[in-house]
Amino acid sequence: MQLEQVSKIVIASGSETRFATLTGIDSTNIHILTLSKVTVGAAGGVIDLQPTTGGSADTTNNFSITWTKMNSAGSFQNFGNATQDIMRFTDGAQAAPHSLNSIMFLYNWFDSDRYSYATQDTVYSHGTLSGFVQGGIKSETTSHDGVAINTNQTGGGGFQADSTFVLYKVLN
Amino acid sequence: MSNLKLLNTTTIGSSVANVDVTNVFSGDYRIYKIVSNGISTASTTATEVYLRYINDSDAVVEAGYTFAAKYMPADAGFSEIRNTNTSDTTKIHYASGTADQVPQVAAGVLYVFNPFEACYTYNTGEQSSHYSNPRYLATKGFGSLVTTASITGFRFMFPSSNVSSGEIKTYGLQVD
Repeated sequence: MQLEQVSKIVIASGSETRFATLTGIDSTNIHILTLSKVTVGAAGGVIDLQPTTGGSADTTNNFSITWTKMNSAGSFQNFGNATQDIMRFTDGAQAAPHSLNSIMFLYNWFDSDRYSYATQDTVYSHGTLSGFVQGGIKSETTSHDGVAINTNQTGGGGFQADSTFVLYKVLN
Repeated sequence: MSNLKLLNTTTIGSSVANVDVTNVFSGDYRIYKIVSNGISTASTTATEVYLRYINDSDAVVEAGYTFAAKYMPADAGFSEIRNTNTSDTTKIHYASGTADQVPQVAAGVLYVFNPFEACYTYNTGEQSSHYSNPRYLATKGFGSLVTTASITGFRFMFPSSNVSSGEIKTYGLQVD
């Protein structure tokens, strides 16, 4: 597999923010989104994703998702929802030295005649460990050119320095 | 040029209880992809494949692990493998499924995050294996090492039976 970087955001110290939007998807190739060492200023809050169209978040309430959450200290959980407007990475964002890390594959994101699909493996800790195995379908044929990621955690301004978001194109 | 860089290929060519891949994690990459294939035991006794990390003093880290995995055999009900029902924090379970003698090999993919950084190290992964014929097994799991020490390598452990063949490739995801 060969990858080509499309865009990246590395949060700089002094520029903490609740938002990270990556664009540049301009082909029907599969794309990979990675999140690494993503932290917020205080424990708690969600980290969510929406596709972008023309660089702006697509907020249509037609994201169908399903996941299994694996926990190191308790029973695993299953969840599905047919209609929501986001795909969630976590509802328990954490401050360093914990962090959230994820590999997400984006399928048909740019296509205008197919729904947009995503698979996501996300791991993070909060005293114990949790991992999400998740799939999602954006049930519209809109062409998407990127991803808009946000947190509602306002402590410290949101995403902390060195939180890294990278979008790759899969070349073959 | 690809942003996925092959950093190391380790081939198992003799009967061993562990295989170490050292000095492969560095400040050059944040995310690593480890692909293992053809992991095969020297005898007909199968073995799970565990994971431990190696720190920048070349010491194998023997404590501080959290993990959660789903164990999915084709011939029985699924189960949950985690710290609290194994009472184990000394390694990560099911790093490459369960190995047995050829042709029943184990294969898998791990993504490792932030090993060299002064923060916790995390992994995701999935594995496929065939052992104690006719058991087919898939596992899917997550793990972390709760230390901010710098991690530079990893060990695959074969606790129940030596392994005599297999290949482990480590890639780095480059950020330009």
